[in-house]
Amino acid sequence: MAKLRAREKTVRYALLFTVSLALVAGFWFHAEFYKLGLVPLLLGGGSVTFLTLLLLQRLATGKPLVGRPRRSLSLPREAVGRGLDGTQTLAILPMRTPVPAAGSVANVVLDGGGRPVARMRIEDVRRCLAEDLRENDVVAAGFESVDDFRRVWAPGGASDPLEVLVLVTFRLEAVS
Amino acid sequence: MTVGPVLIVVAVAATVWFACLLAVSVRRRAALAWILTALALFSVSNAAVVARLVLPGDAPWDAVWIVSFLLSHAAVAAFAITYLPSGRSRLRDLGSAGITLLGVGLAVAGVAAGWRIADAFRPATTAGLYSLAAFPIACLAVALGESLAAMRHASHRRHEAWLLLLGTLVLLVGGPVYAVELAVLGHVDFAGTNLAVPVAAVLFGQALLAANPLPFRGRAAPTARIPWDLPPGVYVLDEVRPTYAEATFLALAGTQPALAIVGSGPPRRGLEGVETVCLPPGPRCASVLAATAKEFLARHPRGTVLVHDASYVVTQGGPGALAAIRSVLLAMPEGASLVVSLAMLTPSERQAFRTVLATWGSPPELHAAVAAILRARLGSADLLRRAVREWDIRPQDLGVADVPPLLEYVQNALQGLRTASDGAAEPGWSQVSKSLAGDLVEFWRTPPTQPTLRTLATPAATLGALGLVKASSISGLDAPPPEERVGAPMGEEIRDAFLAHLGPAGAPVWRRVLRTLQKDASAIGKEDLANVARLANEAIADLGGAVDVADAGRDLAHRSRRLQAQLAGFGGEGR
Repeated sequence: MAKLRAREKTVRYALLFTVSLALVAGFWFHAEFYKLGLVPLLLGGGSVTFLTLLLLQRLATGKPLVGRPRRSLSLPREAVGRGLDGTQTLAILPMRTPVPAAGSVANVVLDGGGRPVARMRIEDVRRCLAEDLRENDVVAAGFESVDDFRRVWAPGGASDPLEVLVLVTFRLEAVS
Repeated sequence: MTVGPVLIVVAVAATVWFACLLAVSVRRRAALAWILTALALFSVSNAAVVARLVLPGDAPWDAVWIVSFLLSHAAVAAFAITYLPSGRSRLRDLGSAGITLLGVGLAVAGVAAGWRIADAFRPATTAGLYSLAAFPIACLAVALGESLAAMRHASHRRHEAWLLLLGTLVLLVGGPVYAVELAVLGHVDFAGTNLAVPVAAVLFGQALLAANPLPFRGRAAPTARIPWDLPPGVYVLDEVRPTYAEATFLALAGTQPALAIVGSGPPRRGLEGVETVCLPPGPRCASVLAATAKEFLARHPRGTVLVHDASYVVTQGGPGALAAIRSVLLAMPEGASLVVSLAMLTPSERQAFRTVLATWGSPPELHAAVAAILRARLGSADLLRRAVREWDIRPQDLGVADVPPLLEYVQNALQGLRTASDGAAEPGWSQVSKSLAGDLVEFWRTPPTQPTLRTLATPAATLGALGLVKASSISGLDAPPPEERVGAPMGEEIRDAFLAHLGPAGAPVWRRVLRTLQKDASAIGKEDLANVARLANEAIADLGGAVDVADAGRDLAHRSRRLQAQLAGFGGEGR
């Protein structure tokens, strides 16, 4: 394992050195060719180097180029608790709830607003009719059974079986 | 050997390695063929430059270079045209062929005129040498234009178009721009080469892999008992569940290859034995759907594709879903078929799909329609519930192919009761059985795209006309199993009637009625029927006000009358 890590590091540093060489060579050639003065070279070269280093950093860390997540997912307090424990991996939400796109990282906030409590990776988003919910869906959403879900979802028992629900599968990324 | 040839050899090796990687990973045949051709030709032209530099003798390296150099750029243009199609496919094919032929013509002229590697992107003195510089630039301009057009018009392919744009810019900088710069700086070794080809190959490869079609084998679907004779084409089914879309898909598929493209939900009973691929979640979903459908239909021009869950694509890709399906329509061969289910879409999303040129169907839920027929002929739909319980499925999972076995089940049940009834009712029994069979068979044979004109007679009227006692009143036929309640609650029956007559629009209308009544479905009784009918009328009138197509308005009025008749029937059944 240590050998593998050392090899990975070597490859990374070799690539970084190659990119640095290419940048310096590029600046030298273009400064010669276009007869660039010091100020244009500093501004142009500085911008290119900055963008290249930023890109390399994002590629190395696997973080998206857009930066921190902008969308948030609002969940009840119990669901957030279970999500943090890792015992809940799915949220069943009504259609009107704004849901971040699958593949994105979202801030999780408690229902009713407030500060983000965690960052979750949204792994999948799909729709389902209320009466087509399966046992494993509701168990992943932290309920004991489909009946238990229905009791919580529509306390008066007046739920519509053809209501379209949004099922969001998520994974904990970090606690805020 | 100087550093120049070494660098060029490294670029060629990197290009070949990446081309091999693409050859085994990318499943889009036409686009792959063009990009591999382009990379191979770029490698040959770069290798010809090295050969001219390091090998002695009079080998015709200049001729090899001219042919590969010109055709490599033509192949890049053809790749962009094939990969990011816009407009008619025949025009695209003509465009690719035209550019390639022009490249071949120029190459022949160049070999005949004795153009040399050193002439690449140099200040020209003759028309021929002008064209040697202009043709590659024009080809790259075509690729740039295609990428920009795709970024603007194909919302589901912006990411791929962006990568293609970057790749083309890299080729432009590494080719014409650097040729001029390096020549001025005195690095003549690099004349006629493009060292940026491996970088462009990585970017083009990323674009190809981002929307790589899902793997399929092109198997025929199993034979299903769907008696519909439908011509090939595009079918869009506006329904609660994809029941009719599955049946339409199986009816169209016949013995030809068929592919069901599904979301990430559980597998459906109606697709057992069918070749199925699952869409990936995330922003790639819409472009992978389009790529898979197009590639499948390109390889099997008489094949059928089912988009089982358009709601999944909409959830992942937003408006890109519609653009993706439209792009499949544009690329569809003559004898191919595409079936799209709009189940679980919101009204505004359904409305957006209305612009798709297709054969439309808006059937009611199958189990609700079958229950309505049974209720009309027998006074109760309990036999349906008993049948699905025996088959260990829910009524909602009933498919079109299940209608004949259901009819058989019901007829067997009736047959069993005939022996128990008295002789006077004998002719009536056979009449009921025959009418029921007629209704169910007609229902089974009618495709969802054809409006049914069946009048759902009230049970009292049907049986009264026959001079019979109501079947549901005979003990045994309608006797539920011990654990089941007697009959369905009236609310459930009314909901079924709403869905049977109004299709998917029935659900929101029913919800609005319940909201206004401030009651749960289970609490609806006979005393509420007048209010339900009135509120349903109001809701349907509002719905009709929003419909600006005359035919649709008439159809809605017709459905509303049928619903009112059935509601009146519920009131007259003496429940």
